[in-house]
Amino acid sequence: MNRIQKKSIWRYSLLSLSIFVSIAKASYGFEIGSGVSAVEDGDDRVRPAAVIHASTASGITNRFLFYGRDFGPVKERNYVLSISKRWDVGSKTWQGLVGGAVMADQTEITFPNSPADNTSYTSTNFGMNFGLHWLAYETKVVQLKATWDGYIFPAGTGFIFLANARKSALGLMLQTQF
Amino acid sequence: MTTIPIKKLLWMIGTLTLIESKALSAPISLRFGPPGVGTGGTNPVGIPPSLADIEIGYVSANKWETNISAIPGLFIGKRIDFKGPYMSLGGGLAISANGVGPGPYSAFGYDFGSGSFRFNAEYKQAIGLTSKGTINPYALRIGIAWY
Repeated sequence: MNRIQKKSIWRYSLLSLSIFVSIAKASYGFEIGSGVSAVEDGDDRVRPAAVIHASTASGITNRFLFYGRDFGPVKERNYVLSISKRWDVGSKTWQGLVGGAVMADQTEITFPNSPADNTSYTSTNFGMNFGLHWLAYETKVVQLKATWDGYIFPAGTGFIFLANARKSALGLMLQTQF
Repeated sequence: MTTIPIKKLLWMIGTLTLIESKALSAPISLRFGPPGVGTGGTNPVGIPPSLADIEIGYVSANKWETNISAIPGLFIGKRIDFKGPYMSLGGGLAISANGVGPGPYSAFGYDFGSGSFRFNAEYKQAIGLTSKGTINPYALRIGIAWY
């Protein structure tokens, strides 16, 4: 990962966290968690991912999804950050989320015998997050949630005709509230 | 040998559904938008829209909805209405280019405006279980809801 890529990741992370923390301060509760997800990029292939989650009692939810893979000299890293509003759907065990998302897809190719040809590029896009979370189990300390998040990203000017890209994340998450 | 008048029956069912829906102020939606068929992102919506770009939805007075489209498929579910925004959850038959299989769906939508005809936008995602694995069709569509 080159310096530019590192900078962009930190920029998005800090931006998201600063917005979240400022909102959380005005709130009266806090919730953090992490878990695993199966991410699908629109091609029906499922990849393992890690997710970090934080939410205020007022329902402002911040999620960071991270996954990637290595193919010999090719390294892929994908990051999705979302800030959403969460609310109860019908009962307290079902929750819906709608909000914004930013995605960074990074590809880095390294040539061991020809470092001058090394290349990397980052594709960044802004979109929307639609999620459905289910509280499957809870104790006094932790809660287990099943999550189903969809991230829609407009395909440039093609979005006039609704062309888009989508990432779907099906996951399990452990969280605690304080 | 007697023949069953399938076309007449379908017309009758359709007409009765429309009349019932209108009488109960439950919306019928006609949405257009390109589906994600499992081959990457979506193509732009066709002009005119192709059959794969069209979806018809019907919501009963007690908020059960039926959705008919080539992709993501055929679904029945419960709609939770927030007077404008809504969410739906249910199950049915998911369809994509990589297969057909049963599974759940969820949808997030918005009915803009008031009166008999409202602008409708909806994102629907589904998961289908097939013998080769899961399929994940989806669609972002806009259209009209008739109340």
